[in-house]
Amino acid sequence: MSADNFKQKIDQLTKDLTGRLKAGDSPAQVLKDPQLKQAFSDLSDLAGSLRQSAGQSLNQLRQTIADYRPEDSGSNDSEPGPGVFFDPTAPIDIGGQMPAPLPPAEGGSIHPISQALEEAVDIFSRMGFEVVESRQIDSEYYMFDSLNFPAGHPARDEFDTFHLANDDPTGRPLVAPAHTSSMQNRVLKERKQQLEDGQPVAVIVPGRVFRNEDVDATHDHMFYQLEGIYVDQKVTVANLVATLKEFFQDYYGQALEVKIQPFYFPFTEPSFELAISCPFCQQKKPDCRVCSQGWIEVLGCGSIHPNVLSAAGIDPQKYSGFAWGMGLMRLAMVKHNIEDIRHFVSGRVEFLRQF
Amino acid sequence: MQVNLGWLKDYVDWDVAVDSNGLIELIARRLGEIESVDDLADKYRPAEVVLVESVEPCPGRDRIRVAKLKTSDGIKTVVCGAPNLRAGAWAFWLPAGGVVPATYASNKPLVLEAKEIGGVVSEGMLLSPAELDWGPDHDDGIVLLGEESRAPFWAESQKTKKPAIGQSLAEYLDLGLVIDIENKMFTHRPDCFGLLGVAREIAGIVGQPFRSPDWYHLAASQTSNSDPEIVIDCPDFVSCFQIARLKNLTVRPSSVSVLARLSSVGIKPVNNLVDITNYMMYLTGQPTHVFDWKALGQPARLGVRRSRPGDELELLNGQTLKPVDDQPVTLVVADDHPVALGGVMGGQKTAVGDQTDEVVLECANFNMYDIWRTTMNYGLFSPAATRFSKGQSPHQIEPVIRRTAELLALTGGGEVVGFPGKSVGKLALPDPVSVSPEFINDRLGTDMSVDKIQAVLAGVELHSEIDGDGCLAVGVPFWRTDLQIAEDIVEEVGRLAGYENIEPSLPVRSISPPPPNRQLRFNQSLRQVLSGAGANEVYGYSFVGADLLESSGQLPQKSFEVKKPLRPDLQFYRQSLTPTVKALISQSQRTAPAPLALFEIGCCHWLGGPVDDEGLPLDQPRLGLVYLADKTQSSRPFYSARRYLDLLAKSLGVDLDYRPAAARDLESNWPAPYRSGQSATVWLGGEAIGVVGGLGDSLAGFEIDPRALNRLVSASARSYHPLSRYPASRQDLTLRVGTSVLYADLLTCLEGVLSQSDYQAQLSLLSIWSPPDQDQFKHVSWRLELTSHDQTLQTAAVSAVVDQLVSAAAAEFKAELVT
Repeated sequence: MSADNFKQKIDQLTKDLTGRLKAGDSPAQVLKDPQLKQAFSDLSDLAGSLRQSAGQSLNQLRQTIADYRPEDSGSNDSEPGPGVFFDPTAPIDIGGQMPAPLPPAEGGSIHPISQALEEAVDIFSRMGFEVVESRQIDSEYYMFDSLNFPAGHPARDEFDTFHLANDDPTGRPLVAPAHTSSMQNRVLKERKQQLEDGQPVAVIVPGRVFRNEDVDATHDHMFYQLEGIYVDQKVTVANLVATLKEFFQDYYGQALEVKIQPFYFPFTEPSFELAISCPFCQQKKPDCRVCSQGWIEVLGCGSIHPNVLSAAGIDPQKYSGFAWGMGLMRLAMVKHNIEDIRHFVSGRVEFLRQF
Repeated sequence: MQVNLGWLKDYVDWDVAVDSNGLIELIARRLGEIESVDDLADKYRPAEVVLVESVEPCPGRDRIRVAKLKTSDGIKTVVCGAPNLRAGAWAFWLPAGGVVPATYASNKPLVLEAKEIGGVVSEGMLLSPAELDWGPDHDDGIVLLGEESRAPFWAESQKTKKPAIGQSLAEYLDLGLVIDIENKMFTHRPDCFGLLGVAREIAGIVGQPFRSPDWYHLAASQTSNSDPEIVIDCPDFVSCFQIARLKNLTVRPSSVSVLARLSSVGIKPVNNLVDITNYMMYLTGQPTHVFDWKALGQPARLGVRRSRPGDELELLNGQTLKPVDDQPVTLVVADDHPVALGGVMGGQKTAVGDQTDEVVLECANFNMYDIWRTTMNYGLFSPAATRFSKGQSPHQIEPVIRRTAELLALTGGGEVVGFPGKSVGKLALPDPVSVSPEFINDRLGTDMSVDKIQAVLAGVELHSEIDGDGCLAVGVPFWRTDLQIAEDIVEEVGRLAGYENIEPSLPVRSISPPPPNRQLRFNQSLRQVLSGAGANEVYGYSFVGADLLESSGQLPQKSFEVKKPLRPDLQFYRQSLTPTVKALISQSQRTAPAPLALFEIGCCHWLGGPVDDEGLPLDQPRLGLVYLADKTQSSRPFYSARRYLDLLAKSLGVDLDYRPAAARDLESNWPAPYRSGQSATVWLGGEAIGVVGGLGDSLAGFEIDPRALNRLVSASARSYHPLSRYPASRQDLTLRVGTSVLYADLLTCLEGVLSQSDYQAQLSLLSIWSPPDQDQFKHVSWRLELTSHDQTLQTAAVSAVVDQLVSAAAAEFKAELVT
């Protein structure tokens, strides 16, 4: 191919592709145009010097496309409406109904997870807990190191954590937190003085967490947790059990039994799984759809490991505490007998409007 | 960890019922969650022990014979092709009507029928190992009883058991309940990956003595290091490597008892030598491996080293391992040639086969982190790797290799030649843990006596002494690598004494109220307003695909990226909420009729976005709403989306401003797929807090920063107008202006006039419309409401204000009063 031919080809390509941009295609879409890809692969057919200049031209075109920003063209891409002129400062369109139409008010709904969250926050707030929100991107330090997971420890694997392709400032990969416990170190560090002033640390941390799990009716890769942290002098396992029992009794509006069973988390010692007596069958129906032999496992918890307190600068000889991680989706599923966790993110209005 | 309770009885007895109110519940409450309880008696019912009375040829058939059996139901006849069938033998018989055990858990259980074979009706069958689900058949033979003296665990429990006609198979082999305890419970308990560890725990839980085998307490002895020479070339990864050499062995199937017990806990039998190593691993948690000595090449040096470029090893599972340079592994090497992937899997070429008569038994301590990395890097998993990755004690090696060698010699009929071995430095025993009884009670919230605490600990072989300060010095046996600090002892005491015995008590604290989270409360009020106006709250995933980003005009390379996404549509963090909500509304319209509005309160992230003082990305809160108009709606959907914002503003007591959005605003500040010619930026207090705009012919939406909104609302005071004693006067007003005059500008002009008047004034929009064929003009109608605090206003006073309004609008916008 001659230099002229190739130049003509690039000119035509430039015309075609900028035309697409002006027609409303995004730069990302236009950059995928097969003609552009073909032009780059055709470069190999050209002689050395020609190839260099043609390559520069194509790279420039690619840059131009990537940098393209449509001019503020007023009604350029607006569809013909009842009024030609678009005035966003007016509450209604020219000739439009006053006020602008909305869906029927009675069809509105608040998501069941928001409702569960509000209810949980309300109860814990009344019990004296402060609310701190979690993060959706964090570092390995907060996810693991500060929580007594030694580097390279196999227990890290049990949390099925998503690592990101992007690094934190120390050069380690960022993570999508697999539990809200990743906030413990921050919460404790920030309240060290409060503790020394004689006030306990009593904090709940709701947030989205992520785990590399296959999706089915009871598992999703994203779910909502509510972390609880309580630290003071002489805090006991008995305090942990009573606090959570109080919460669940308030949440389900009835007297309940709770039991703890041994478990393992690196960040608590001892660690437990907590179960409540079934608030639906009162442990009386062997075929109850919600519970297993009268009990429902609701969360993991334990006494905060001394290394976790130390990592936050808190003296574990003087202070002790407990923490838990509660699944908000599970709480809502149990309360409403929701059969499939995927409904929560389905956007299905027939599901949403039931709440 | 699967536990055969019949096997467990070799080490502990219990006096509680084995049911969900007894032993099963105690184990769940004091050791770990039980995932399943299976009764093997169901699987093997109605198979029973029979005596073969006679064996006769089958007329006209060479390969089958007719046997008369002495059964619980008298003499029965079966037709059998097993070559090892002989009169006087004891065997397992499955009568007609029984389910072949190997098919018990399958979709189609095979129910045996009485069948005529070679002119003889066969009343059931004599069972082979495969039919019993005990691994492959050998030489098509049936299972014959009577070799139990060679079974290692009989020797251990000092029991003898003779077959009896009609005894059920399950009873004869102690096959009853098998419980599966969740492995996660034992992440820090390498000892509980062995039956001895579990038995010890159960002894402590039920308060019965644990029959601790003497051989397990054997202290490390001085080992020679020769024949072959033991070489540890990677001391950071292997702390101890020992072997036993055995010769004159015979390889054959394991005895019935071994087959049954291994199978009962999910271990596939292989041959008598390999089965013993698996049996010992199951018992102690310590993996071992047997190599064929001749296949190893009778090496002068045997040991471990890290992998090097070019190393290659065919593994027992058929895979060929080629370690890559940046993911080295620990290899067992014979004269430097790889023969096994240390701690994970043996090599195919050196495996014990039918002709093996001389073996090397290897027992080592591999670094748990290294084993874990190897399994993750190469996707190679094995029971040995599972156990090593929990951190087995190196002190186990001596007792385990001695006992395993003894059992190999017993089952293989051979003898031990020697125990060459090597350790890296001195293997230290764990230090005692010091803890006061007060500390234990303070942490648990209990009031246990010292005697009670000591007794609870002694139940699991944790012996303690009281020192001069009244503290307990708790001796830590070598198998409890998890016990290091006082809190570990607190757990032991609380767990074994029963957490159910802790009386719940609420913490005592001051009544000072905790600081409120105003944003959370604010977000809740936004939800209330939007849902009250017919919108539905949705939750979308935080992760989206490149397609969704690109179709929204967003560049994937600006998103944080998940390294190993579950699916391509979950690869990137979303940069705005609108694309997700828009996608959800597109799906919803199939089942829910328009008009429809979905909203989400969530967070977004993008590269180069705000970070905290450690440089970590911060969540950017957003409220996004998408409105779908029905087909009959004549006005643009933009105005419905905007109305939601106006409702929010009204509920918050503020006025929002809208300014036509430039394409650049949308690209840089509010990455969302809004149409640039139909969008506006949303302003409050001189700050842009979001964008509202068209998303398609019948779609529009907005996305705002709820945190900025909350901050700005909090900073502005609600204005209150005292109520007048006099009634308001109202007059409608219509102005004709050019279509291009912005409504907000016109309103600002009128409000400027009203602010100068002596009255309390309010303008309420009634309509905006264009006369037919006059697109260049629009008529804007308001209702003016004027209130005086001094008097009831007369028409003339109201008209005077209207005149001022018209004059001002005429001067600024060439507006005309429409009468």
